[in-house]
Formats: sequence, structure tokens, C-alpha cells
Amino acid sequence: MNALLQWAANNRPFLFFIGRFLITFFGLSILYALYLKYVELEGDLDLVTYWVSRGSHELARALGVADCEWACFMDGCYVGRPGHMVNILEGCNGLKLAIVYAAYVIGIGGWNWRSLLQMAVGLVVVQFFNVIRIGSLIALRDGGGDMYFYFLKYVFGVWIYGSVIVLWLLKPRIDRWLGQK
Amino acid sequence: MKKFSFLLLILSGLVVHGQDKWGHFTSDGEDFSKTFEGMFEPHLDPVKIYMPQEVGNPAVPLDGGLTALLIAGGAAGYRQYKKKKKA
Repeated sequence: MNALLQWAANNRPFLFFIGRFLITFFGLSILYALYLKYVELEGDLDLVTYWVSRGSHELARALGVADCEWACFMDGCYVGRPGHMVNILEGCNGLKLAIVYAAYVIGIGGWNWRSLLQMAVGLVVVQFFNVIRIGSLIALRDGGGDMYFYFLKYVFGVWIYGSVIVLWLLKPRIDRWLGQK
Repeated sequence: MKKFSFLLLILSGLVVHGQDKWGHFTSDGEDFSKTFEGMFEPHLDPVKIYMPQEVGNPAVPLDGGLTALLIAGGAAGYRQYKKKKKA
């Protein structure tokens, strides 16, 4: 017990980080859940899923998916050529990853303008990676074969989670770039 | 030799007769054939094998590793503080 207390006393800044990290994560997750409940009651689709599916649709068209269609309903969007469509649900929009990224940024830097700026940029960057992921998956599905499933399960999983970890590793550089000592 | 051949014939006849009788007790050897039924047939029904191409409109989920990412965040934070402590 004494050893644990000693460790806690020596690592007080780390414990503050963990506290801020978890409080921010759960706080933002609750806000997002409330927003989802609100759009559900309104009979609407959440804006993040809408914009991610729209971006993916545009990217898939740019990648050469002819006759790429895009239709949104309350529970999500369908993008792709008829018969080869991909279903983009709320769980596919990547916002929860952006929330984890934001929680880390706030956990390390606290609530200040630098952290808020990194939160906003991080949200855009994670969504950008996610749009590339889904747009490429639509193109792969359009091409047929098993490549789609391998990319969905392995390659793009590493891709999207890797994007968050790379942003975390780059944080000290971004802090220096923003003028923080 | 003649006696021996005759005895062999009688014994063979008895064995064959006995087999035939035993067949009556065991529903004509049905149990025997049931034991080996389908032994050399493939166990997988080709119709039931999962074929990815037949899936309708699959979702593209990614939030399965959220807990792992949270743990990685904690570890990255600890690493950051260790570095700061050393400096």
C-alpha cells in the first residue's frame, strides 16, 4: 500500500493526465450519445455519418467507380454501384476515434487554445483518413474479389488506428510549432 | 483328406448359416452399415460454406479496437511524462 502511495506521489502529473484523459473521453462520448439520441428523435441521420459517406462517395467516383450511387436513411447511408454497395453506419464514421484523440490532447495539454485547435485539426485529419478508407473500400468492393474483406479487416484497421497514434506521436512537435515550451 | 474337406465344407456351411441367423437378430446388418454411414463423404455442405461475395451490403465498422486505443493513449501519456521527468 505504501509503495503504491509512494508511486502515486512520484507520478502525480501522470495521474492528472489519466484523470483528464478519461473525464474528457467520457464527457465527449456522453455529448455525442446525447446528440445521437436527439437526431434519432428528430428522425434524422447524424451529420458526421452524412459527411463521411458523402466524402467517400466523391472519392469512390474519383477512383473510377462508375454509376456510384449514394442514398442516406435514418440508420446510415448506402454508397456504391447497385449490387456492390457498402453500408456506412454510425459506428463507421470514425468520430469515436477522434474523441479518443481529443481526450489524449486535452489530457496532456489541458483545456487551452492549443489543445482545442489540435482537437479540431485532429477531428478533420481522422475523418480525412476515414474517408480515404471507406472510399477505397467502395472501389475495392466494386472491383469484386476477396481483397475488399482483407483490406477491411486488416489493412484499413491498421491505417485508421495508426493515423491516431501517429498524431499522438507528432503532438510534441505540433506543440513546439505552436510555440509551447 | 476327403474327411478334412468334408469337415471344412460343413464348418463353412455352419458359419455362413450362423452369419445369416445373426443378420436376423441385428436387422440384417443394418447397425453395422450405420456405423460406417457417411464415413467417406465430405462433412462440409458446399452450399453452406461462407462465400464473402454473397454478402449483401456489408458495413465498414472500425470501432472494435477502441479499448485498445484508450490503453495505448494511457501508455503514450506515461511515456511522455517519463520523458519530461528525465529532461
